Amino acid sequence: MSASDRPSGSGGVNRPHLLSSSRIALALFVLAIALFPWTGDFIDARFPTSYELRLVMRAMLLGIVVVGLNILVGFAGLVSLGQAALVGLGAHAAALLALRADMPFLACMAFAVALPAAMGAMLAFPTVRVRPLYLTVITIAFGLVFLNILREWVSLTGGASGLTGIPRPTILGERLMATRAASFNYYYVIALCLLLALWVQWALARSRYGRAMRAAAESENAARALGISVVGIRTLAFAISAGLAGLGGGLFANLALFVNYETFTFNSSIELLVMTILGGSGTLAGPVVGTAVLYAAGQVLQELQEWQTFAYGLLLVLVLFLMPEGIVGSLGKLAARLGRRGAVERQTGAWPNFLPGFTALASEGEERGQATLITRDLTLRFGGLTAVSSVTMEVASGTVHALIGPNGAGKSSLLNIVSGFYAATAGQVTLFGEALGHRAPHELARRGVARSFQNTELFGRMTVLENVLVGCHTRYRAGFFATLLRLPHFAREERAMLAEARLLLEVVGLTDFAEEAARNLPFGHQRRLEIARALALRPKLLLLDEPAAGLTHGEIEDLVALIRGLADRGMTIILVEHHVEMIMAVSDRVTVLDHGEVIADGAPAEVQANPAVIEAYFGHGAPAKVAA
Amino acid sequence: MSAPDRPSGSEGVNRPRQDQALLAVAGLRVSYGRIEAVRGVDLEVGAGEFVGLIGSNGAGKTSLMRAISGVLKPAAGQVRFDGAETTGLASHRMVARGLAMVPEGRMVFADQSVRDNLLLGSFTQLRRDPAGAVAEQDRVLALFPRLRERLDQEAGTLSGGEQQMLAIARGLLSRPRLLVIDELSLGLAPLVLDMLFPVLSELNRQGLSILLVEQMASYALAVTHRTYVMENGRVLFDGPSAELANDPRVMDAYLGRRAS
Amino acid sequence: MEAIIQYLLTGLSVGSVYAMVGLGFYVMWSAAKAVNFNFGDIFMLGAVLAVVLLDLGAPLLLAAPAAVLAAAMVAAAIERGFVRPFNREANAIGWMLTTIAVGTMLESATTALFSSNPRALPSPLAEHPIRLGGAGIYPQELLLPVALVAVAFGLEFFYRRTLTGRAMRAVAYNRVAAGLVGIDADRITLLAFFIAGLLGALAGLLIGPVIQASSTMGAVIGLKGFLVAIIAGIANARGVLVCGVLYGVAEKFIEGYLSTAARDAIGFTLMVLLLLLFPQGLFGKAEFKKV
Repeated sequence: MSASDRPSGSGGVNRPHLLSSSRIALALFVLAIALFPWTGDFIDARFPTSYELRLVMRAMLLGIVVVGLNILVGFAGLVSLGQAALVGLGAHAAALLALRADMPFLACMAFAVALPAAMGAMLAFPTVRVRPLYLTVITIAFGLVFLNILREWVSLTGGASGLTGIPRPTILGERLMATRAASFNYYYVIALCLLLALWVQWALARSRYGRAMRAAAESENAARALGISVVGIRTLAFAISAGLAGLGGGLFANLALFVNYETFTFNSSIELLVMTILGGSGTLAGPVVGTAVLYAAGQVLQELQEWQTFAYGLLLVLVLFLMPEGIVGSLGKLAARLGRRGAVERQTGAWPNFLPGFTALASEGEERGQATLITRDLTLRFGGLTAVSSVTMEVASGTVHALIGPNGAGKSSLLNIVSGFYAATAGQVTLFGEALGHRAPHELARRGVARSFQNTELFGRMTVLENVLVGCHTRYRAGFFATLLRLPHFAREERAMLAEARLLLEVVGLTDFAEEAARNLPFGHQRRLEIARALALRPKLLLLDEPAAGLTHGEIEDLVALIRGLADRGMTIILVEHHVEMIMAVSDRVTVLDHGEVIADGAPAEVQANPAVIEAYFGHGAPAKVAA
Repeated sequence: MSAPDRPSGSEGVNRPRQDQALLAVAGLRVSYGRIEAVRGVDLEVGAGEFVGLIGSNGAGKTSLMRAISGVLKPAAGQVRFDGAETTGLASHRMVARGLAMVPEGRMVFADQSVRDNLLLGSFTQLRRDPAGAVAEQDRVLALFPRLRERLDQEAGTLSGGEQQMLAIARGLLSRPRLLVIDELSLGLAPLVLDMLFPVLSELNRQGLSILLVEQMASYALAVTHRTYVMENGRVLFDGPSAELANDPRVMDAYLGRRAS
Repeated sequence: MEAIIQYLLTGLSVGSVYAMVGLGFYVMWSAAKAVNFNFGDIFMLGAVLAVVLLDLGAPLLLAAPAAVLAAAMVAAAIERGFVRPFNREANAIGWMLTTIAVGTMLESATTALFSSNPRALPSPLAEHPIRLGGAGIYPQELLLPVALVAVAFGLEFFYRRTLTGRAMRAVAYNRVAAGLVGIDADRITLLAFFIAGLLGALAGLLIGPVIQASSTMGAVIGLKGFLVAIIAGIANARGVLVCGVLYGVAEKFIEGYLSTAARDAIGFTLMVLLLLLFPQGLFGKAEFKKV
């Protein structure tokens, strides 16, 4: 488990010694937390005093909340400015249930987590659909309303005097306190919760959920094409984040035994955000470091009194301009740069490399000769423009079907309808024998439609291996909690997917680049990776949008071999392409579009000789020998 | 239907000399992240010349045009326009210096009227020489009478051909010395093209230098003096258009066949 | 009946404020596809700077326009310094965080330097309420809808009749194409933030005499303006105007018939529900996302 590293190698290779140094850091951190209350026994002094102990406990509480915020900001790329209010919701839930309903501590805590999590989901779902930034606006609003309610609903919350006399928490009759007499048991409850939060963060980062969150943040389109419900995964991210905020809040209420609204202001939300960014959003150790540094600094900044908030603002600006990756992110980069010296040259493998294992992985296509895809009178209009006009075509299973036509003929639009990105204005699509209305891309992906993009859309900051693993997303069966707990059947599944992803990398010859950040790959390799990622879906229908654009001749030949090989193994492929030579070499059938309409359809040689096609491409008066 | 007339005479062929080139591009490279779209291109357009640039889709033509016109910054290489280095200059500065581009996909301001689109075309001129800008509007509208009929219509409601006319007219209104046209034929019917190409030839006869990027090779070869053939981010060869029209290498490049 | 007229009038007044702030968001968004998240602080500066200038002895007629102008310049400076450097990538987090940070700094600096308590912004129109159909209202409050109408016509004239306004629409529609006709899109964006600043600061200045000037006066109103713009569909100016006014009126009716304390809770809940039903906003068109 690497604590200071990015969820997976920060652009560099996972070197074992770094991994172990992270482990040592984590062990030291745990040890320090465990021994802290007893420090006085070692140095023979009255340390920590109950005040100092309380400071550390509060820091750990904040740490839990910041871990949650890091999952939201660092993984899912969303920002909440109502996080303090969610903490307040947890705190008030715990306090009120203990005070008014005499609920036991653990039950109170369960609600303290569940209520904010549910609230988070309710806020996220309507807002992340259009623009992630709307979530931020709504969370600010939520924070204000929440504060408003606390202040005004005096009969429930006590208004300014708050809720006092919260009973001391107990577990199994044991009173939880941070005193030596009680062996500091409440201190350890909080410490345990912090470790739990860190575990959740780590388990998420190393699972399909965390990968899906990061994927959705990097390229919404590619994530959808790989079967990820972007709205769903973002809602989940905010629910988890809000749940951890509530956990911190519940623990806080039981520590202070008093809550009122003054703790959960907008400025506290900003503070939490500064901690996240300062530590290094998206890193695993960032929340701990950011919280510790800013919390310690906060004790000093208090001297500034009314300028304290100003200082937080200034700090945030400085971090964003000077160190956008935060403390841990910047250190990780530095380490990667130092480590890269003397790095071995990576070998690019030959491809395609149809290993024995691959055929077993390839999804079972339908019976040969059946129609994988039928479109009938498919039409797509944007405003006044008709991009696709009454297209009727049939794609037989196990064939390579090329879609060609001059620029702007509607090929990509047609591909986007078939993959669910555009909703057709009229007409019908029958896929795998089933007539479908408009389906979202992620639903079609789950049915076995994979695609590549004209301008490769990789998850640039994720590693090559992780990119392929995102492609496996839809095929996991282990549920959310099994994943978080890393139960044996999840672990088995994860191992199997990992093996499969590595196999796919070998198929496209990128094994040596597995730990490289995808954006650092040369262009040709990026195309290979995009195809490997699409194959990870085990698609029945693969849509390739100009896969040869920008490739060298050699690379195109390899691509032809790959496409042919896939079709021979039963996969159906629709290919939008301009390279005529490639189309002739690889396709079984060609449909030609011009101005959104089908102008020719047939075997490659027939189409090549069709005068209408030649005219569409070269203009009339083209030399006759083109046809030859 | 006949292919558009070739500009009479061959005085344009091979005309540009290094010292008098209006536009001179040397060693130009354009990349998107790690993707190299243009890999070291040299190209020249002489004053008064009508030059074509052809090649299959994805050859890097549009990226090259965008780098020349300042829409994006080249990764390496040099662009000189009108005797001065203009590498990396933003597009609005290139327009002010006399290089206008009609972008791929036309990009008319669809939510504004034809009249307002034309007005925006005169953006630089209206500040310098308002009277001249008005006269220029008349001159340009005379070239495209169809636009005059639709002055108050929203540009988004025009047909594709009319939008292309508007895009060209808009480009002309900045009174450029060099007009770059990216993919004139995109999505347009042959009938429309038969109307547009002669207009370009006429403009060129009147002294405007034109760099035409075109996928429809036969059109480009028919109207231009000289043509560059591009593939995979590089210029493969160039020559007088009349000669290239019968050069098998052109079709090879087009069909993605390896140039031997 | 009197109560209804009262709610309508005060609602129209406060709604005009939301509409003007919302229009500020519209102007910024259309030009830059980014906004100053803490735009409420520009609104606040409009009122606070006016008080400061009055303190320094400036006459009201000088202090008022000077305050609005200065606040608008701050708005433009925020675009240049904190939005533009972060608006190159598709990810919205950068400029969102920087503008929030700057807003926090502005607000806390104002608290420290100006006053932590609200201060009166004197106006001859806010001294004696007048009676209209049985309802009592300050003439100052009636000034707001008038100002909104003027602003709306002003914007309409600017966007449709001036070359610069057309250029701004061109930038909003397609930055690349705007550059290709010779428009400096960056400068137009700067101007857009300045104009938005004028709108926001004007709203703050005009409502200042009614709600008093304070460092915190902008936070909630800025947020409501933003929400109103989102609910309307941020790219539709008329929608923003209508939604702003309606929201103001609705607020007053909620205050009158339900509860003052629960006003914002009900209002915000309503907005979240509307967003649930109309993801693109009430007047927004589904955006066409190119794949």
